[in-house]
Amino acid sequence: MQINNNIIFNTVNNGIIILDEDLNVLAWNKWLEIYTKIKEKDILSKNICKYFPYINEKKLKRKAKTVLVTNNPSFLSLNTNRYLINIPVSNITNTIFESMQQDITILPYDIEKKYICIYIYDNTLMCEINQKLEKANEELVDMSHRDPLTQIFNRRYFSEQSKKIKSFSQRNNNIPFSIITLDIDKFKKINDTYGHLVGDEVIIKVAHIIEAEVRTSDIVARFGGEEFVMLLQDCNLDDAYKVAEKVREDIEKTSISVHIDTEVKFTVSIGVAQFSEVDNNNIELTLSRADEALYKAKNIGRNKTVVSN
Amino acid sequence: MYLVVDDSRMARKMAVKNLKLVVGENVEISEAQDGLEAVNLYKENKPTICFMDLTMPVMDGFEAIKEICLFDSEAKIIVISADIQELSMQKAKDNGAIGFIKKPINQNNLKSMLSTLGLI
Amino acid sequence: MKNLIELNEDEKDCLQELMNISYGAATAAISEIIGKFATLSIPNIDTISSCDLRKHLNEKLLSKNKYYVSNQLVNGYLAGENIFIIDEISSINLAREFDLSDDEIDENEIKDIILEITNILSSATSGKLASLVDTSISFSAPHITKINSIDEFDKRFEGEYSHVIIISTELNFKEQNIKGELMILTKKESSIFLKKALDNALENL
Repeated sequence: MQINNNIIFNTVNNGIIILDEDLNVLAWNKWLEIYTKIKEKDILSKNICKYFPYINEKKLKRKAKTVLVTNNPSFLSLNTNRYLINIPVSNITNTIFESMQQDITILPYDIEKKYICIYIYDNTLMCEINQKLEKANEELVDMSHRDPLTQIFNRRYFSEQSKKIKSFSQRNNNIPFSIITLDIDKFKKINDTYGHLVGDEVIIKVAHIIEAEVRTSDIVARFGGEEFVMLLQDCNLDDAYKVAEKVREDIEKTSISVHIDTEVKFTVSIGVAQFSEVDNNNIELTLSRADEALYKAKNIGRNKTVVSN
Repeated sequence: MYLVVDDSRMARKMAVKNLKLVVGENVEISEAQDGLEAVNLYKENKPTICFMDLTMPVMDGFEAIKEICLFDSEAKIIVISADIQELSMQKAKDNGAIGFIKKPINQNNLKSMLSTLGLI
Repeated sequence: MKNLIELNEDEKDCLQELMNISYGAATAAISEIIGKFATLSIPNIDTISSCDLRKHLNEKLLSKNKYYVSNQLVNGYLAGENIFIIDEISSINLAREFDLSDDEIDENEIKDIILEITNILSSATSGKLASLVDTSISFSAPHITKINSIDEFDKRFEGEYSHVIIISTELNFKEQNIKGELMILTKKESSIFLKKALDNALENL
């Protein structure tokens, strides 16, 4: 092809390939020679798929045909195909991709002779930025769902998820689910006696113990201060009570070392309620009943689990 | 007399205009909007040449061509259509069409088809 | 306020015929590319405002099916956007028509094929229309999303397309059960351009 001494062909910062309808290479520009280390004279007249066997030959032939029939450009979408030609990327700033991410345009070069032209554009930087952005967004969303101190979920997330769980249960023959509210006993005293840092450790410890007792389908959230709420899916009142008691006991047994010789002990009071008709389809009411039970537990001596009927 | 068949008013207008340019201002032209009307008009007036679109409601061009050729084995029907798939052209020919003009019709393709068929 | 972009009867007829020709070309292109016989229904032309656009789109996405929506920007005097809507089942059948075996068919392949069809339809129809009214256009790469309801559509539609000409047509492979709709949306300036171009064509008639 008489194109290879053309200045634009050899200096442009894109790959340019000219192929016939059988995908034999008719022109291969300098950019490609540099990036693939394949000289034009070596690949001329060869089928491009012989050099790059991972290229989907059927698809590329079809695109070539499309372009020649419609006399209009076609695109290889970046969502689906990452690259046409695998060119390893290795620079210090790039950490996500091993291969150059490419934007490909295919157009008719000569309709009579049935030649097509392919432009390859290096889109790696853009893809990197996009991926980092997506990741950052995901992290932001997750952060907005979490309590910073304990890293368990927060009240906001609980509200969102409880609605979904309620719908799910209703759509599936009213599978029972229950709510457990927990409050650390005499927490203010712990803070005043040992300081806020110890107070924080207590909160974290309680959060971990609760988490250890639940399944992945359950939700554990910190409602603020020293208050925690658990939502147990597919769980009736009796089973919820058993879980609550296990948690209460584990907390009762545990402690936090403050100095070499000081162990801080603490307990929780617990209220349990199962979502039912009395709640008028409103989880807030279930929560209230659990809170009332919790209040009773405080009143009858703390470190107790009370069930709402 | 010529018969122009197409459900599109604009297409009929374009065919008529080009016919007048190629054949002459005083040419007599009848128009039909669908295959059924075309068959009826053909039976009444026996035009010299019939120009037929393929995609029409009530009765499409393929059917109309068939009907007309059954009625008149010497019928001269030229298809004017946007549907230029091999299969369509073949089907029309099988039913009796003698020529095919790809839309949009203009003086050149009309003249060319008519002279190829020895009609002008 | 009078909608500047209302087409009168003659202009509508003219556009209808131009679109018929364009679609004929598109059908031929598709059948040549995939080697099967295709039909495109006679295009339906509507001049509507943006709130009607929302309603129109709503009607297309009625059923509970999931839909793929691909869109492609058109640049030039006939600037606007082409949107192709196809349901999930038709998409899978379409993939089969492109000679993909069942184990080759996955989400990415389907999306790729729909993008291709959009590109083909776009260039065959808008491209042809542009040449018939003697102007040039270019296309941006098409994009695709899977949606469940009209609410997932970008809000910008309402602003961008305050006056639109919608040309919608069904792509139909009856036996293979494939049904998709192409909508050609024109922005205000292009609608005005198109109207003028149609008037021109009518005058030369």
